Amino acid sequence: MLERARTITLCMIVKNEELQLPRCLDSVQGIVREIVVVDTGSTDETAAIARRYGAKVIEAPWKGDFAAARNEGVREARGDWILFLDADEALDAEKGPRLLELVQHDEYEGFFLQIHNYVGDGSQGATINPVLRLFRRRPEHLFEGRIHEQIAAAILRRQPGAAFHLTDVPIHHYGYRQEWVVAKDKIRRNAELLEEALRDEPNNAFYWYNIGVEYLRMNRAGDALDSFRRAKGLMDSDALSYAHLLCKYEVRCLQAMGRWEQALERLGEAERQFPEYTDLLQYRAACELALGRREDARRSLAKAMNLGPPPALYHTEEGIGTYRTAYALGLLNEEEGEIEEALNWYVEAIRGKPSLTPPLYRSFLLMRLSGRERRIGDWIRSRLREQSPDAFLKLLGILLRCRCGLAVLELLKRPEGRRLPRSLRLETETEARLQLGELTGAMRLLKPHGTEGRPELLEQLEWLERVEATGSGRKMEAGRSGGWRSPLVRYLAGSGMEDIGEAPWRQLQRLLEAAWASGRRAAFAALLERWDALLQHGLPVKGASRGKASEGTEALVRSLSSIADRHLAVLRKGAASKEGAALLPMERKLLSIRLKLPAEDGFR
Amino acid sequence: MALVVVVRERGGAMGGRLGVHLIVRNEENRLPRCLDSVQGLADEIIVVDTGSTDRTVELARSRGAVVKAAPWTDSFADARNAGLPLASTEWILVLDADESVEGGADLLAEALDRADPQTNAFRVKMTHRIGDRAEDAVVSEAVRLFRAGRGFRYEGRIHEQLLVPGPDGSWECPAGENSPLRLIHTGYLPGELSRKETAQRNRRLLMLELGEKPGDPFLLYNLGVSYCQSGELAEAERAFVEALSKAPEKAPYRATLVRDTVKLWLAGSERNGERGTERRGRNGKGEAEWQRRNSGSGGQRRMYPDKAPDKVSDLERERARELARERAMGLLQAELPRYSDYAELHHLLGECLEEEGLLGEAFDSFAKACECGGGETGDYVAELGAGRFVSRASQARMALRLGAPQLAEELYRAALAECPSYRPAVSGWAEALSAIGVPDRDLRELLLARIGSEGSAADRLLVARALVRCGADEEAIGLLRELGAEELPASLIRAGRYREAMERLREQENAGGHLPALVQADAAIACWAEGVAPSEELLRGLPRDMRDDAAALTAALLGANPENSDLRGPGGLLDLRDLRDRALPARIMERMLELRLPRLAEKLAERIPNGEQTLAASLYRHGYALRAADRFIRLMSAGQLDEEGCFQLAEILCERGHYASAAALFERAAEKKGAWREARWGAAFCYLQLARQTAAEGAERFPEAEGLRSDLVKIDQAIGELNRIEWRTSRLPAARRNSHA
Repeated sequence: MLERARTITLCMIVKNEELQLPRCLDSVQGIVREIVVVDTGSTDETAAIARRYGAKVIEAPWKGDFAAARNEGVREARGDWILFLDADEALDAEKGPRLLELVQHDEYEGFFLQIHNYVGDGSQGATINPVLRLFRRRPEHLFEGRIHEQIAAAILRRQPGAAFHLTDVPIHHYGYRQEWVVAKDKIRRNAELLEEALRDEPNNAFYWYNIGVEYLRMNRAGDALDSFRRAKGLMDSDALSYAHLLCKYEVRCLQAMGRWEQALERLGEAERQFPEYTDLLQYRAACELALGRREDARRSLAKAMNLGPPPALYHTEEGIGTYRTAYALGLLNEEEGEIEEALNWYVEAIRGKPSLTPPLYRSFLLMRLSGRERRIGDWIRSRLREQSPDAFLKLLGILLRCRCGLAVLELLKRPEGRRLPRSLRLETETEARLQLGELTGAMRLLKPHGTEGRPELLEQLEWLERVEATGSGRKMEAGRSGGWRSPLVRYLAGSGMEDIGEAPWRQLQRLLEAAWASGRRAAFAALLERWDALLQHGLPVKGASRGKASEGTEALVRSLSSIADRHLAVLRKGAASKEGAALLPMERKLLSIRLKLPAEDGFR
Repeated sequence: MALVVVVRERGGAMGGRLGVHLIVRNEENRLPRCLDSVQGLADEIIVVDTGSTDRTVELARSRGAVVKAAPWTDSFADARNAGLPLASTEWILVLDADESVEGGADLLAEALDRADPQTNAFRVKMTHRIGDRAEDAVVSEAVRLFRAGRGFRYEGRIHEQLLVPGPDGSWECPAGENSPLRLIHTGYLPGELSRKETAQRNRRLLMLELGEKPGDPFLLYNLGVSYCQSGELAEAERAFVEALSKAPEKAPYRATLVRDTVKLWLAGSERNGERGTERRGRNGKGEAEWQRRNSGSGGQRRMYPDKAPDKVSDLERERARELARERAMGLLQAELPRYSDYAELHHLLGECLEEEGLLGEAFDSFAKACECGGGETGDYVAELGAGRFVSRASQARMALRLGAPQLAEELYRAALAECPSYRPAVSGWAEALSAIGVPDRDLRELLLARIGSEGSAADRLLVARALVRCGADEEAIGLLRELGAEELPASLIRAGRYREAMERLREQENAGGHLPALVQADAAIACWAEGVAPSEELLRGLPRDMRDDAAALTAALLGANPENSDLRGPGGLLDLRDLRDRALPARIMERMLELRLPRLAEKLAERIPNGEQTLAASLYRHGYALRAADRFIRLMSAGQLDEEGCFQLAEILCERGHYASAAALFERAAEKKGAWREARWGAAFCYLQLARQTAAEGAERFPEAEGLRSDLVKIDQAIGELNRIEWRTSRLPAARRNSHA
């Protein structure tokens, strides 16, 4: 008999998820044969959207029981396997299709997938957690538990010998992103449900564990710690899949309470129990750092690097044992004045995750501050991968934001630089020259290309020169036939509160720092005053938001810091900057002050 | 005098417990003190004489010593070894004639009797006096006490080393256990060194031995020491550096070699050997400087020293100091991990860091020195107060400069508990007490109580000077009078008691002898302050032309005063060309401010061309910030503000929170004078403050902007760091009283 291809049904429960649902359903196209959506009372477009994707929609009033709602969907499913997702999750586009091969295996009852939880706005990496999300449809396989409904335990109870397989297929979970968590008040809802469930089943370890997680998110570290300890006391076996996670959470509670020594003690026990669990070493390093034991922290992180990421069964945070650990090691070495060592770790971090920019920012900053700016070009060539034109351009952008104008000019002379489109080349070179204080040179660059180049920028620089010459930034229109065209210049020239453009901050930063670097003191003072007025009296920008003003404040803070930095740069003593030799105390102090100043860091 | 070649039945050896062994030649002056100090302790004294021509042998015998004549073979080891077989005692203590037992003798007998039979040797503590003051001493430990009959012997023509056969038959240096015995060594006192011309002799022996063992680092080290003693610093440095490159890491003398090299570098670049509390001279000139410049010119009868030091050579000297300091810090950084329990190395690093202006780091280094303590020095040789009161007082000084007078007060008190007459601690403690608001009267009582009722005149003078330094002249006057101190008239003037000051000066002049130039000036100033012309009698010690200058100044200052009968012509601008010494008015003005007479100085400034510029800077240096600020601003609007003025005005504005204007002025100052580090620090500080204001306002307006909050934290950290670095003008404590005057 010819084997029929096994099919997958996606089961979901939803309520008012019109924003997120499409992303989720898009991600399973071509993978699931059937979609069953249990709607527990949406008042928005959720049901309609689901139907558009061909889903079978079941209207079921919410009874305060997640397992019951899930099971309603499961009962409607007709596929051989059931995949369940939440609306704020999506199957990984690259590895998702592997599920189709996996379900052809007969020896397994279920598959673990890897959930990547994104924290904050997502730029700070993800935590990764293996969970059972795909299981064979059998009438007896039903969910249990009002909240944090579980399927694995239920399957095992019915079928103690059931085999599960661990896959590396990711599910991306966006639900813990800060703003959504707050918007949906999900934490409090979860905690309330769990508290209710615990009244019914006070000895359910899994509930205690989950309520601990919610407490921790609510910054109630003490309650969380108690809950985790209850859970541990109730656990029947250390082999339970979340036993290691319980340790980690306990440590996190202790850290949140500032009980570093106790956290270290707990970590010691946990490391003996779970020697492969890299996360513990990263947490250890954090404790050691907090206690000022920098050498120990360095050792712990190095050990974490050697260990690499933990085996797939462990809940981990993306980058532990790889790029995140390497980045932390870079920072630590940087603070100790071990510059070459720090640079090596940053390279390691970049190799671990090439899309991650903070280590690049840090490397360039460190090289500039330690007198290695002229070597940046060679460093890029020898330490980073072959650069595509796009990536090269991105590097130049980062260099400019790190105020490495000198390195940019040098890179532009290289073949990759010469291959850049003329207008981009021009723009980049102009910015670099402005950073170096070559105002006249920059204007010369812009002039012959008036129209194809940056007429706005040229005009801004002309304004700068005019102010410097006349000593006043106001009422300049008369001096120029037709007045100023650039909205920003019109504002600076004092012509009132019209639209000065969408993103004036970068332009203002460039102008202010160029004025300072080229010694145009009067223009500098005028700009500072206008910028300050802009922040003080609100934005004349149409539809201006508080967010924009706060960005403007931050930009000014960073420009002022960068000028302080330029003064500190002059204080370096030439004689002492021999490479390889240990830094003398003053050099070291200067470097550490300058490294700590506010600067662009690539985190936004 | 008892003869003590008495055999006591103790410990088995027939000669008794302890024998003292010496080698001597022509030591008639020092030997008695040495031998007297071991009476009662030594059961036997054995003296090897290598050819005395004075009464040495006779003196030794009269104190019960067994004297053996031995030929001098250009080897200290040979001479020492010649005496060892004569020992009939169980233990041997080796001394030199310029050493004596200072203490611990009473505890020693018990320690020896209790000693484990395995114990072969003991270390003794040594104090090497290098000067008169309590803190002028170096401490070390050495194995000087060992069992007879165990094969101990010396090796080396000079700086002979004690060796003992090890278990495998090879020769080893015995480690020795600690003993309670303390020796005092006077051979390093300046007079002693030159008298004996030991340096010459040592050099010759070292050269001989170096011929036998070329490049031996221990010999090179000692060669360097002998060059130091004869003042040949360049040769000394060469020897030290070579020794350092060759000395094995574990060599017991290596740590001390590091110390000596650092000290040599630092001393070689010092000006006038002046070190310690009141340096960092760019702005901090004060009484001390004035006195040094004046008293230096001994018999010279000019009223004032000639001119300011040459600026070019000043700069060169500054640069040389900086280079030497950087070398020293490089060596210390590299070596300290190896000798992290060596208090003096931490202390020396602290002094370098202080010079660099890294006050926070310097504080930490001095604290580390104190943690090491000065107790058991082991193989290290160290200054007596290092790790103890000297380091403690330095730590306190850092606390004071870091704006923590309370902490400074505690630390100074701790230093004084260890050494009550340590001058920097006395004056520092006074400064700290004054800074935390102790009234002047209580200040004097506290200081006097600290030195105790039987405090010597020198100690009381210390107290008086500390009071003057803090500006508590009223309280110092009684003490100064009682001690007949030459500072009395100046303090009387500061206290506004001009008549008394004049009286006192007249007495001094009449008592005969020439008054120092400084005092002459003060006499004239006291008269002007009182509104009278200095009498002929008061100034008669001056040459004719100088008296003319003084008269011209009198006319300029008092001429316009209608109440004064001593009028010598109309007031008005003084023509400097009429003066013999054209720089005189500027220096007089400076002195007036030192004597706390700002109004008189202002009056003088009005009478001389360019007076304003000079006066503003002087006012500022002496702490009259408000008076100075007005003048700076007037000068600036007239386009006459020079770079010093820019810097000083910037400091005033910065202190009052006008950061944008201050930044611009710091920048102007820095641009006009290339490598002006302080102005750069100032500019960076102001921009950080501007950034801070912006960030703080933003964080208030936009509480949700996390970036701003974290930037604010970073800026605060940076500002904190800049506050722990010394770039601001530092002033004498007395000048701080003037800020609102």
